[in-house]
Amino acid sequence: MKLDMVIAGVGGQGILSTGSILAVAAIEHGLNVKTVETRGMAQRGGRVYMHVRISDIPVHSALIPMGHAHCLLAMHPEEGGTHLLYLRGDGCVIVNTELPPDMMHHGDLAAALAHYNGMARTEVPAMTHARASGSPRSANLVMLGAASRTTSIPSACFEIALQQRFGAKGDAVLASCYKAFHTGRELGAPQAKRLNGGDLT
Amino acid sequence: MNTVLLLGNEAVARGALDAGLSCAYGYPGTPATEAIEYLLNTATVNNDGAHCEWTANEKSAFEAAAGASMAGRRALVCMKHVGVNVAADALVNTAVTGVRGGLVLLAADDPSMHSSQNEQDTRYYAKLAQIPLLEPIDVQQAYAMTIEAFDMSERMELPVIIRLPTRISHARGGVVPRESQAQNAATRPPDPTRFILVPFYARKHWARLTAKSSELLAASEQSPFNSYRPGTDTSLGIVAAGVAASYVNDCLADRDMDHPVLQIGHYPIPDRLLLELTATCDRLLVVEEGAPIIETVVRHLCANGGPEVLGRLNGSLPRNGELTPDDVADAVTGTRQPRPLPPAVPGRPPTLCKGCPHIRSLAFVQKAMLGFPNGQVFSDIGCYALPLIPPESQPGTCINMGASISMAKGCRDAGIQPVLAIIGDSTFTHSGMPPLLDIVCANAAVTVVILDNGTVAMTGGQVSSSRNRLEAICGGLGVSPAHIRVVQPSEAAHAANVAIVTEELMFDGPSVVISRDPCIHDVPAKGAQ
Repeated sequence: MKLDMVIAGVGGQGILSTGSILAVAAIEHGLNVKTVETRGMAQRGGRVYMHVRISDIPVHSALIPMGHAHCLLAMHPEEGGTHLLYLRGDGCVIVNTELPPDMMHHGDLAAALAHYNGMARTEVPAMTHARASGSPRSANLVMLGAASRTTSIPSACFEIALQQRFGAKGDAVLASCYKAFHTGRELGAPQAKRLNGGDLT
Repeated sequence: MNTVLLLGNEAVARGALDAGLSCAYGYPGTPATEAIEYLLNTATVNNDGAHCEWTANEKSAFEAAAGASMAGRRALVCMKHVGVNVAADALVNTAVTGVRGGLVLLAADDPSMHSSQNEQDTRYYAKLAQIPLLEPIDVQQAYAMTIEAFDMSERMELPVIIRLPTRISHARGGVVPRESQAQNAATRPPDPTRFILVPFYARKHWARLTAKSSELLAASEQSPFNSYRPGTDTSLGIVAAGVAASYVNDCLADRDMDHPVLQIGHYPIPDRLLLELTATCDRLLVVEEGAPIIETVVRHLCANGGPEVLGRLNGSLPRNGELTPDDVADAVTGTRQPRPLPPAVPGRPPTLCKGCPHIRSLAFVQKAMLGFPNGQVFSDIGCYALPLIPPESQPGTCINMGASISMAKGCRDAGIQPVLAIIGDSTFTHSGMPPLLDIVCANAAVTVVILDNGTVAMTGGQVSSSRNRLEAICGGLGVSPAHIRVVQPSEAAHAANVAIVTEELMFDGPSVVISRDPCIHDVPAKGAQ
């Protein structure tokens, strides 16, 4: 399989940890992975993005060329739009439609979502699902769950990656992380069918 | 061993540990910070007590590493590219003395200036110091190169630089760690005159260094990190260095192209391999991250009737900024793919965090300066420089660590008054103390406002070297205790603080105003208040 994913949003949304968990899960599944991310000044409320490249053959560059990404994971609907040039024509968008109040976008949600018109997209109200999972801060894990469907990586590998990252915080925290992830994974099901028929088997 | 996911910086740190690291030093700076962070989190646990710490500045870090190396131990020193400027005196002269234990410098370059004031290329320093430099193609190779760098450093008795651009420093990849080596024993140097660079000895050491140039070149020509890959399509040959080689490899693989490629990861530039390529191909494309260093050499080699040379200098690749896979694909294919414009989304320039004490400190300083329309404000490197950009566009400067204080003095000497320097506590202990001493010695009328949040906030909140000793430092440098004013930047104290800064601006001599409030992210310091 080969999967190029761009994760985009703003500092504080857990973008780097989302991409890292995905990368660890890919390694657990025996795949090659490279990622690259923005750090430093970008994190002070600025734009943050991460490129994740997963493949069963060696990956050379960590940066994804334009028009190559199979999936755009838009943690922030407006910021995701600025990365559309990386998406393939047949790629899919998974977009978060809820943001914490201090990350409110400049324009309105409908205008931001209009950037993705005509594209295969899944809208995920990630905050609502995160709260329902008992962990309001794990909206990024809901999004990760939805995005996980674009890969052939089994759930068990994601659970190992989540365990590595959150295991030290105790069983209750870990359980809510699993729950947030699996909720998202159900929401991402339509993408699985679509992409697994193509590049991803 | 299992594959572990590491950042490029962490891969260098992990490689150093597995190579038997004894001591590591550095000063925080994006994109280099995570190497020392990784060691602080793991070194003492996993490696029999490797000594690791942040130092006051990069020069101090490099010299501490040189001392550990002199004692026969392996030492790593980590900094961003502009930090190498600060450490340059030590770097260049440590090449002259030579090293005992392996001494490796991780220099993180920042093309495109994601978090820096320039795009300078550390490869120039390797040339200047006459030492080897390694530049990995990816994170896994960063790990392997680090282990080799320590061996090479001991074999050649020279410091070795590992250069990571942002796209390796902040890339992640799977690394398969090797078995850790034991540390070297600490021993005193058998020939102490090696470390004496008075001219009597220095001439001998300098001659020994310059005599190594052929050994350095031979090593890079035989290096596994420099490889020539023949190709059937010799209409174009490609020289690809470091991370840029990864873009070339992807581009050729994606398009089933088969051009000869010389991949370079070990410097000095392997001339013989370059000549092989220039003799084979009709045109040559040089793809390197940073300055056109290899390209300049290739242009000289091809100057008289050789193949046409393409690169940053003829516009085949952008002259400035980091390369992208798309820039490289355009140069390889000789086309220009359209760059679709993203939707117009308002920018998100980095700003001070909500509730940051710098906001209130800058407010009373700028208010006081309103009373002196002919005055000049200088600022420095740190979070507090963020309001210099729009929409705030506050007056000030931001050039290099510590420059606010010394430039304020020069500006005052030149006839502008009053002058005021704004500097953070960590930037002050990094490079602001000697300039403050100059002000004291000259009894110059300069007001220095030290924004003391106790941390190196911009790089993640490392503890500042000045913590709990700032007044003592300023007093010790000779500032009169009556003109070391400590204030709290609260809303309630705004008017009083304006009055204090105004008083000191009117004082005809050196003065320091310390505005103290912990960084909002520094929870332990907040708790201690």
